[in-house]
Amino acid sequence: MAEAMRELQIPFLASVLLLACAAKLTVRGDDSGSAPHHRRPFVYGVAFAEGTIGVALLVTPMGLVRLACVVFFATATWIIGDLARRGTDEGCGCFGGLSSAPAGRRGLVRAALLTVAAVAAAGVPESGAAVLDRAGAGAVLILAAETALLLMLSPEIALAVERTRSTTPCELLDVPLEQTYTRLRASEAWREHEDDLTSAQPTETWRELCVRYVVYPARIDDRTAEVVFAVPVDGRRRHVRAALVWDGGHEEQDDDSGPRRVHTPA
Amino acid sequence: MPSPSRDLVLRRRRLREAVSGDRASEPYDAGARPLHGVEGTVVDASPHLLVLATPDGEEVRMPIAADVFVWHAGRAGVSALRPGHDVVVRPSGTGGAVAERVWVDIARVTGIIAGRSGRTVEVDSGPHRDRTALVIPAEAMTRIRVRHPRLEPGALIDVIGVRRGGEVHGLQPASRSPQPASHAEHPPAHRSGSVPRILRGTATWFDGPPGRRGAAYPALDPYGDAGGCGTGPAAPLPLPLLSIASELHVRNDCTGLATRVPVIECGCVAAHFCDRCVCCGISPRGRVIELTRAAFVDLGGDLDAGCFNVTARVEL
Repeated sequence: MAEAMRELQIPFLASVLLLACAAKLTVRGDDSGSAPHHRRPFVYGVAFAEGTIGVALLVTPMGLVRLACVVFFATATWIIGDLARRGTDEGCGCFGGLSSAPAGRRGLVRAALLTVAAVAAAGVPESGAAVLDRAGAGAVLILAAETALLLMLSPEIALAVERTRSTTPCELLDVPLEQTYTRLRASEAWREHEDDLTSAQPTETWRELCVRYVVYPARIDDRTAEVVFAVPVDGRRRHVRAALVWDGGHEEQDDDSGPRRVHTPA
Repeated sequence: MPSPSRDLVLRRRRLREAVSGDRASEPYDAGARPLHGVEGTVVDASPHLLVLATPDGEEVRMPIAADVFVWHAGRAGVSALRPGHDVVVRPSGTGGAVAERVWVDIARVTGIIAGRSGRTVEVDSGPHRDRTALVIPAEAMTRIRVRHPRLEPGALIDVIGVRRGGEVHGLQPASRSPQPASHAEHPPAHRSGSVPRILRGTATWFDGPPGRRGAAYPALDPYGDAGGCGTGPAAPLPLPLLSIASELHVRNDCTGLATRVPVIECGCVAAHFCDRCVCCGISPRGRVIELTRAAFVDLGGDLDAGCFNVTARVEL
């Protein structure tokens, strides 16, 4: 029984990797944030690696492929753990745009279990296709149980349910200021500019459609400036953006989401 | 809340653009250049020349077109242009500043009836505007009651009239269409992912700050410095939330003229109405925006008609 479970991890891990690869290629997330793991070239690179390892797990029992699988899941666990520890509002992007919820304990446990499964299956002498070839009803039950556990540990499912339930368009959502401040202070943009702010209270807040703008006074290199944050009022799809506006001078868009843009005052 | 200054509009535009960067806008017919209406007080008038003192203290001289339309409690002649009277002038669309339409002492009272004493109706125009005592002359009562049969406290009223000796005399209902039942408005689909950012509906006008070009918008965010209506009424149909100093690109669908106007006030009164404009076809929905007199005239609107069909796009 234990041996059968160990062998079944190969096709299970292969299907998880292929699913993640397909999700990254088809469900695009918001790549305007500052996190490098959301940038498109990186996402496509990871998707290519996942697809390659997933197919290789199915067709070959090579030790190098098993090692790559273990390293891949261990790295993913480390990255998710780091995101969760920092309390950032960035999603892990594990399943492309579906994984836009902030990385948390649930996603960390899922990645850790997959790493354990990869380590356990590293010594299986058969390819995934060969394991599936002689799988019986018991194997199907084990795979179904594992899939159910994976879904239970998937924050993507909770987010999808939340989005299905929430039918109010973001342009109409009644969002108190406190909710905006909580979202803002958990953001990468806030951490980047926090030390430059000279007041804990914003000088101005207003909202247009799905974005609330929050302006703080700042001082940088003995020059007065303002930092304006654009905080989305809805779910977690889009990131908080920030721009530095010099007092009476020029201003810079500064959210690492692309080339820096310098604006002249109106 | 006082009307936002132009500086605030420019400041928020600058901050918004700094953090949003360049955005691709939705496909949209920008429309033709607006006219430049003039509001002011008549200083002097001859059959061919009108001299006005504008609210910012300037003196404007405008030639009068041979076929000028003058409104003063109905169609009137050039003789109605007497010194001291408040006028709104719409120039011709052929270029130059030739007065083509002139409205003398025109006023509009829109709101909820707070009380009534004989022919005088006290109208609550919302927290941003004062209460107005509206006098309805006997000859206008029947006309107004066609659209407003219940002149009782709590009922809505929207009347165009004329200022006479510090009073507003109601002359005609501002809307030619009745207030439809609530079920006549179709709510958006249950699972709509967003609401349209290009709004099509009715634009009306209000007695805003003299000379200002701006709009009162019914759905302002109630938090922070957004200038919202607080516990004011919700619009019959949902409108996307904006703030004071947000900007809208507004096009008169009847004339094709378009311009950019800032939101200067919460249009909590307009939110009560769900009548339609029948100026050039029936507007697809109720009141989405109220324009100041200058902005309304710039877009080719007739103040005595009260409304036009409008397409408004949120400028981001």
